[in-house]
Amino acid sequence: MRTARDVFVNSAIFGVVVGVVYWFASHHLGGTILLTLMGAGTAFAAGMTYAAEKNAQLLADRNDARPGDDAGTEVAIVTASSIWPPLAALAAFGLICGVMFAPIVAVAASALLLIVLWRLVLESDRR
Amino acid sequence: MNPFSTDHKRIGLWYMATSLVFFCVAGLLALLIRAQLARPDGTLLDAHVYDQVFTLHGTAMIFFVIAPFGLGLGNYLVPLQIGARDMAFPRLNAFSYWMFLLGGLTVFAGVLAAGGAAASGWTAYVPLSILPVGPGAGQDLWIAGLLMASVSSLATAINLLVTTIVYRAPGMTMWRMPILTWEMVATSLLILMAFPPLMAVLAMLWIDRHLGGHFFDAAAGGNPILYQHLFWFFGHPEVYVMILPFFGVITEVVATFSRKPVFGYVGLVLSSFAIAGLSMGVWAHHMFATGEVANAFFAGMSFLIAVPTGIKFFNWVGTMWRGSIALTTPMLFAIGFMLNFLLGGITGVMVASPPIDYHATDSYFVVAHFHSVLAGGSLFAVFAAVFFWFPKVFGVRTRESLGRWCFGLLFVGFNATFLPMYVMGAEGMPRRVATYPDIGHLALLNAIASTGALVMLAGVLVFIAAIVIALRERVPAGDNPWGGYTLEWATSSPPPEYNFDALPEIRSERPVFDADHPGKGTGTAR
Amino acid sequence: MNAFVPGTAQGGILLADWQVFIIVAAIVGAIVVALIVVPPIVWRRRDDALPPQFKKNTPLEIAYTVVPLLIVAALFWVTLKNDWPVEAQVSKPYAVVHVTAFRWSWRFDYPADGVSVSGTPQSPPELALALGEPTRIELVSADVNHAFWVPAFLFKRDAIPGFTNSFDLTPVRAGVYRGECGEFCGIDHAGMTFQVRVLPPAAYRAWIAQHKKAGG
Repeated sequence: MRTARDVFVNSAIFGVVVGVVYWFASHHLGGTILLTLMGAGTAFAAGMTYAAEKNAQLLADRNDARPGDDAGTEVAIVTASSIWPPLAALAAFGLICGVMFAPIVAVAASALLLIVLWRLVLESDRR
Repeated sequence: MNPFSTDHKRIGLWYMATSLVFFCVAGLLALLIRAQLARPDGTLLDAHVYDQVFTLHGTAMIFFVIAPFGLGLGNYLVPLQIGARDMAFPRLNAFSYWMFLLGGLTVFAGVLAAGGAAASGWTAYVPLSILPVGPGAGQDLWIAGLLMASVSSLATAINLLVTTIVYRAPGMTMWRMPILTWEMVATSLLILMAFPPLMAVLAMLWIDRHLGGHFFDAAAGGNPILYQHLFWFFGHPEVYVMILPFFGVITEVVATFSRKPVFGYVGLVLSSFAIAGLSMGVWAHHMFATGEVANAFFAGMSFLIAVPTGIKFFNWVGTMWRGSIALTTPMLFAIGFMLNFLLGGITGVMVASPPIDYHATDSYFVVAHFHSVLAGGSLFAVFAAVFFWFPKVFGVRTRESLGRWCFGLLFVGFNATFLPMYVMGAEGMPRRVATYPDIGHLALLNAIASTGALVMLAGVLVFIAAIVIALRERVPAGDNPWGGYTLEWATSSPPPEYNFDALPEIRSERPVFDADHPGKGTGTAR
Repeated sequence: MNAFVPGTAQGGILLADWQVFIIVAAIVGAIVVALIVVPPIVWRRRDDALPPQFKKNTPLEIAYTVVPLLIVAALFWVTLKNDWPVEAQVSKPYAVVHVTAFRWSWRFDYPADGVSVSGTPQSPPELALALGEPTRIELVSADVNHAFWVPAFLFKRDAIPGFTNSFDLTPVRAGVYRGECGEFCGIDHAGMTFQVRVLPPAAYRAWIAQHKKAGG
């Protein structure tokens, strides 16, 4: 995961450096904030990746790993089919349109969204 | 067809098919534009209808055609190319698709609103997009649809990033990933940084429109230029979101049909991130004529971005150099891409110079420039991608003869449509005008452009025919009809639901080539 | 481009920028087109043999990073050199015109002379400039974004509500030039044209006097 961390670190450095250069070139607060926030955001991602990397022993990152090496280990739980994603999309659609056009729809959509999120969590829990 | 499927291949296909349907709709809108502008003082469409037509054309092509096709292609290919079972979050993936579809339908629903659809351009500058001057509910539906598209894109970006970081197969280090996958990583990073400001500016626009906000209202102490800053802070990275996946497509196609490894792999990866980073710092080159931005800073950054883009071109040339080049349909589209994008890139360097941009911005010169990169570039790569991966996705081949006709018509049609526009702009024709007078060479140039559009239409019709015929003839393609290098070619066509029965050993960015040519492999780039 | 002579001194500098870039574009373009088009012809697939599988050449890759960098650095320097004089403003302009853009025409006010000329899409207004003298344009908008564009001057500038954009125009050729709105502003954006009439100073003064008498 070192490479992924490097991607975020370099993006963060870039954001902060360009943000500082931009301030002195323009004295434009808006753009400076946008650029430095971009740097801060990617710095956060870099930090998270660094922390995660310490515990990760990804076979993917080993030059000499072979396809069968992790045979038998559980890699992920993969859902093949679920009604909740389209319902979540419908709820989000209702929420956005409701806030903008018909508040009662937004209320109903929020309720649906909460139900959907709850069911999604249940669906993930295979224990 | 299971609408509740969470399989990345299904979802990727839905994304690509839906975006191609939106392409046909947006393409018809373009034909309406060219019909109106075929002659001076055209009267086919009244100005209010015309304004909706070009607004929807631009909005659809950007948000519902090119960007989602790229993301859909990434959806389909990235798990395969890294040897994974599916994306990291399959249900989030499905959610992304449905949000994209609903977003597109919402924007177009504006046509049914009183007062019509959004009509202030895909950029929706204030004050034009604010009531009472601007459009009514149609503009709000546009805002809502784009918010949905933003959520969709952000979810896909997160999915792609996590999948690529965590779910690569044993031995698939990041420096052995296919270039297409790397481009999807860079694209995802850009989406993460660019779309939140879009969502913010859309919300602020809506607040100014309906909740008595004054973010952008100069008379009340607000600032209309702030809208442009926020919009373009999103808008410029968005155009790179629309090209980076397609740089990846071109790289894969050129390498495969040159029978060479990708030349300059490390340079291609680093240049993608250089482009992504720099693209966050050039936004106000869209605002040179406002007189309110630091022109020198943005000109300098914009010139810089030409360098990593040029590196990619030279790497593609290096890939072809002393190769064994087959001019298949995907390769023809890749070469067409390079020629068209070259012109777009060069004219991009021109408009990066404010003294040139003072004349060129908001004229047909810049319309020609961005169509060179988006239509001549991205769209050509869309066709390259379809013809290249069609055998893998459907298990059957397309007819090369139809593919060549499709390419020929599109290449001739595209250039006939857009080359005259460079001259139209230089002669002083503004963009977004419903009509123009019969002065200079405008009548002739517009007539040529409109004719070119009809040739492009013919090319698209041949494309549709090629797909339909391929699906009916069902000529089996086999696992690897092109001699491709990357893991998607190691499995059956189409792949089984679980993607791979077995993976080959991964010791370079060309695991299938290495397996097929033992001893001829060239190792990892880094 | 050969026959085109810009109408202002600033336009002359802008044209010089266009010319440098077009020349560089043509040279770079020709080289890269050759690089793209020649390999598929020269190395067209003739047999099944695997070609040499080289994948990098570090000195070459560095070269084609550094050389473009130098080219764009030079273009940046050319850009700065051309932008400064175009943006420069004299301390004492010969005339000052307040230009107000509105949906869908223009108003030209000459405060020093008490002249005001307004137009409609059917009857575009005329802006008079004195040949050989710098006129200060103060550009504002009464409603949405517009842009003051005179293609023959190779120049446009946005009119944005809440901001005044100020620039100088120094005409070098007498004549009548077409002006347009260069920022989409709604239904009659295409109709928002105007004329610029460049007159020798004596004729300009006569134009001013005539418009003052006619009630501005």
